[in-house]
Amino acid sequence: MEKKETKLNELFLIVGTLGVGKTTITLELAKATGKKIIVLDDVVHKAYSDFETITTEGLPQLKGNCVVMMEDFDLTLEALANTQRNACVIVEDAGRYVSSNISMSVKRFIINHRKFNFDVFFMFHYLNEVPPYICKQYSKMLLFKTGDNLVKEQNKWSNWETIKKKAAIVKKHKSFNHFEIITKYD
Amino acid sequence: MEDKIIVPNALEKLKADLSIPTEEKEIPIVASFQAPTTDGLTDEIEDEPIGLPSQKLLTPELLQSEVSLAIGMIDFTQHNIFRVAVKYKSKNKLKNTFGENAVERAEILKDGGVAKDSMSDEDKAILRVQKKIDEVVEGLPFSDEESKVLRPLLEKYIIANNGKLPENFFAYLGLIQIFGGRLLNVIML
Repeated sequence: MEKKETKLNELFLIVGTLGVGKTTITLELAKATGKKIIVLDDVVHKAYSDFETITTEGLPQLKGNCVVMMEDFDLTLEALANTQRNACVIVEDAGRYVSSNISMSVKRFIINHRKFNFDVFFMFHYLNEVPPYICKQYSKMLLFKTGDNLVKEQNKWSNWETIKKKAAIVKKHKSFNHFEIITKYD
Repeated sequence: MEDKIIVPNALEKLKADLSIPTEEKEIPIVASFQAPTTDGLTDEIEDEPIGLPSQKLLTPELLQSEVSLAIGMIDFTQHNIFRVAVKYKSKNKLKNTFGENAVERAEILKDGGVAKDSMSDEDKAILRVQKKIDEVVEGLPFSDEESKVLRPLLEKYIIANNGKLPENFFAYLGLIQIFGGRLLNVIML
């Protein structure tokens, strides 16, 4: 029997300040995967207005696209791991839920996302709010305009020079919605 | 590790890459929330003794999958209850020991908002307490050893229920969550 071509799941970083179009592009990418889309947030962005809105407790019954109105980020990740497979998980405004010292729940989720067949999108407003652990684990980054001070070196990124160079291009670009894609290969 | 910059118009290529399927995984919860079926226990099946059809379907893999799911659900429930209790107790401990603003201060210190050499003795003490709290919270999910203790018990329970988690299992978990929540409210008065 011919083996169907498959690829590994992705862990995306989408970084950019308010209003640059992070959600629009992320949704476009998530739809391209053909998987159901699970958005984690505590407000509903207008881009997701046709998604079902549920709470963490509703995850076991989930079948289609949804926005999970979280009360507790770590618990929601545990619930996702226990009850869902084969999905795109978008963490809107992740800087509000993930501190620099990330919890074991977040770490477990990142380590296991391929085991669960999750493509994951973490969205941040600044490069400097991305926790060091995620800096090491992401596969691709979409970099929009950010308010980062690029003169100050961010050692947590193994490819800081590349990021800095691309950030300068984005900053100079006349379009507010311009972004650059950076990938990192093992 | 090698870095590569993609040209800006590569979005379409990225979408094409993403459209390549990834390896499908079994969704555990779909199986678990199905009530035990009585299909096959009708008079229409004459050649097989009652009860055997469902037992035949229980492979070791399915049994282990059901056991893992049950452990996951129990862990989620106990984690949920104890996490709330720990959060409440830890807030009180910080406030009683270091004053009203200690909880907010602990958050700032935990997030690295204050350089180590700028921390006061009290900041360091707050951090030590916060670290202990974090250790307790991180220790809440079942350990491998705890799961191992539960596994054989749940195997017997699932086999006794025709290879499925019965509906009352979920009812018990729901009741534990409700009672647990109320008990915490009373204790924390």
